[in-house]
Amino acid sequence: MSLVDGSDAVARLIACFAKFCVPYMIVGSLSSNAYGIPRATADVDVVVEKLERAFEAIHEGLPSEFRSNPQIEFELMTGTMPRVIEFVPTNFKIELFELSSDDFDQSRFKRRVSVQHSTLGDNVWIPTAEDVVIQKLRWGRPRDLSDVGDVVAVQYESLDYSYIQQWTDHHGTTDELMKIRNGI
Amino acid sequence: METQSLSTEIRRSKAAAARQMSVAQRLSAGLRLYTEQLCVVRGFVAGMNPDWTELQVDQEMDRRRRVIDLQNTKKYYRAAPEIPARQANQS
Repeated sequence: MSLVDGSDAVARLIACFAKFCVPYMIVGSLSSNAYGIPRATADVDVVVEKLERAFEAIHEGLPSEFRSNPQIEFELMTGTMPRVIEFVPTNFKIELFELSSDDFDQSRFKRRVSVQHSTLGDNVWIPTAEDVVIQKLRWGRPRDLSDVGDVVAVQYESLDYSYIQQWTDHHGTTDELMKIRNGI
Repeated sequence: METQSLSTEIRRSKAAAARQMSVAQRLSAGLRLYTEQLCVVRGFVAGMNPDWTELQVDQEMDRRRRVIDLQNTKKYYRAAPEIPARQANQS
């Protein structure tokens, strides 16, 4: 069992996507860590504009480093089917999601921002802090709500709450947001 | 109530520490923390089973990781209901 962390796998994938101009953003706990209180995370979720294009880039740029897992799961929220790829040298798994037609999914992808990272890459694309909060509220699992609390606690005054509330009103999650804000 | 105020205080303290880190540092910290946790757990597994070979310890860690993977991939998301625009505007 390898105890090498997933940074190498993520860095290789990001470099490949940059080379082949594949629009993407890192989502999930890695993106909430970027704005909140970092917690251990075993997996990496990446949204790509087109899955087919991402796989072409991987097959062309990193043919022997990543293998595709045939397992396909249906993700309930946006109705997309993520694909698991595995970084062969360390068995590290990355879940790739195709950008869905969901209004919020489209919006957060358009608003994504790039971060310079010494190990992961020069332009690592992640959602904005506001969009992380909105998406995590939407998932609504205990761990997601805890992540929202962490992001609010770290970013508190810099978050654009009027923007957040436009979406939470739409998703019916404003009460949850208020509860979390009041508890910080 | 006391427990809640303690947990709020802990979160505030952690948030203050997180604010000292850059976005880039926080972004990759989770991967590093996970690896460090694995190292600690591996040490416990080896310590509790001193007669095991390295391979047996690795196999036990792989088994535990599969169990966690299974739990993490369970899709039990609560779908937040969509509210029609007119209703959302009224509230």
